[in-house]
Amino acid sequence: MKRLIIIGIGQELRGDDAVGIAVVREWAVEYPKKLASPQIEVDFLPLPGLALLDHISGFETAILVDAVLGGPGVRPGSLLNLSPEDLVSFTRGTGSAHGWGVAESLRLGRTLKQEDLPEKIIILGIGGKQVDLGAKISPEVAEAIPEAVQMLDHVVEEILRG
Amino acid sequence: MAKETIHVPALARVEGEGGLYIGVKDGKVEEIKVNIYEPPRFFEGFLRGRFLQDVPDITARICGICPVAYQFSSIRAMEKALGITVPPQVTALRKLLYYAEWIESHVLHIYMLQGPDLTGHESAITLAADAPEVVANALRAKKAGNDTMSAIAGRSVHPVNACVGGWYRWPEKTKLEAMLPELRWGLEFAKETVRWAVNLDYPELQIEDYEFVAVHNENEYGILEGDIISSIHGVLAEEDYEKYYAEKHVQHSNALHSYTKDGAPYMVGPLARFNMNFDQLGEVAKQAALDNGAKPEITNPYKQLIARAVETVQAFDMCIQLIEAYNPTGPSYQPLVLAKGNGCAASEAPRGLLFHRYEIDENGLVEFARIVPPTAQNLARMEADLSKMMPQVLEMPHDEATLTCEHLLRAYDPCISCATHFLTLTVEEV
Repeated sequence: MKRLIIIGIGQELRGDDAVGIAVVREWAVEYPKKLASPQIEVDFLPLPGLALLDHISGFETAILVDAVLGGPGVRPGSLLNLSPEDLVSFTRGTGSAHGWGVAESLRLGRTLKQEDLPEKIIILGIGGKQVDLGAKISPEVAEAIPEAVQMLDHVVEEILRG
Repeated sequence: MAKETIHVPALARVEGEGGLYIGVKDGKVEEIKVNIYEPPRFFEGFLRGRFLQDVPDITARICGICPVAYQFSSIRAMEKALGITVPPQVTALRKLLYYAEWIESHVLHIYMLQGPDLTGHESAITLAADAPEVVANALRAKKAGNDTMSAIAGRSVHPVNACVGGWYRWPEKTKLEAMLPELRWGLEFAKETVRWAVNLDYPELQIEDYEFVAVHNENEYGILEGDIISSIHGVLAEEDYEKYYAEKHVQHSNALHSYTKDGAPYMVGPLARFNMNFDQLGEVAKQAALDNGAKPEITNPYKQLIARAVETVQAFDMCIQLIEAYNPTGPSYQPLVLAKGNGCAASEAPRGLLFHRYEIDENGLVEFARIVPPTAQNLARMEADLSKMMPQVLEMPHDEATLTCEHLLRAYDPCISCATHFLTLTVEEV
């Protein structure tokens, strides 16, 4: 088993859906030494669908960074540390046209009890406002990126410390 | 009793976003509309002025499930416009990539999209809770298709490597051969799938007036190239496609709906291929079909799943054969000699015939593009099937009626994202 994979999820052409990618990219720029660590892999997936399971298989821990739409108390730019269980109510959050969002894929993986899935899956959600085609990240969501980067790094530190 | 309007604003388990509206008044159906509200796609417009070699990688972006179909319909149309013929080893590798795409698309549809309808499940997740080994095997088979695509063309979604004139480079033989164990396992799984598929409990519906339309090749199962065959008109040249079939704008949908020139709906897809090209199936797939009593002519649209299952056997079998025979020599690509031209081509996307036509100028820039996706061709057919079902449906409780109609649309494996594109709009001031 490999140690940790960090995945930024979202479509960069769909407004706030891009924020997950932006946060992971920014983290990679700020922490190049961690990026180079053999214990950590980084990936960017616009619309992983069911293939998400293949991407996280074989890792002890997976951190998924993704925009979150709706849900109780979620405002544009709010930061959430979620587990897959929390995602059931967020199924429409990926703006996917193909029906298999992050939540469904993770639920399917768990239902199948796939052995090589990570023991721990952490979802860092960033509250979004719109996923309009061709739109940029909303200002209030973009403002949250530096704090989201810190939150991501904090989680990475905790995992590496064990 | 469902003697009231059925409205499904957002269809689940279809590719893309679409809805269904059946207006019922005083127990009578007044209106049936398959709605498309995906934002319109402007590919035909923005391809104009692009260099022909860019086109396959742009049209691939129309669909994340069947990008290979878009690549090869455009590549072949461009090659015809330039008068190029490619050597058999180029064609063989194209078929391999195409069949690998059929695997991932068909397996996804059989088990994740339509399968739950036929086994009384809300989704593949509840199906997985009941029968985890079935869904786990389906994921494994789908992955075999995806990995084969990646081995040929770098990645499975929007693969890159195919080009007008051949391939940018030959994939490594050892990488392809490494796929053989999973593909051989997948072939057995696909045979099991046919056995499973024929024993499912399909809703009763026979449509007598189907016109089936598919790519047809006398020597092999039509997928990449050939003529066009219609159950009414017989064999037609690709060039004659537009003489028989035309697109029409309808008010309720962003997608164009296709009709025959007489204004009748027609069907493309696995059932059309299975019924028209059964004789051309490879021995292994044909045997799998016959062993399970599946043979033409199937006229129940719900049973498209059976045709899809047989084609999954065909796809695994062909992938194995094509990899075993793979031994490329010489250049993978022939330089293009640009010339003004006009070319069209049809190939078989997993969900049906995909027609492209391009006009290019002497510098290889696109002057005109037409893309007729399979789902657009089937939309009118779906509405006609729904209309035919209405007497039974109106006797059902509302929820059951809704589910039955949704299931019918899912059986077509509609890809609503790719069905949506727009005509040039001319504004006239009066």
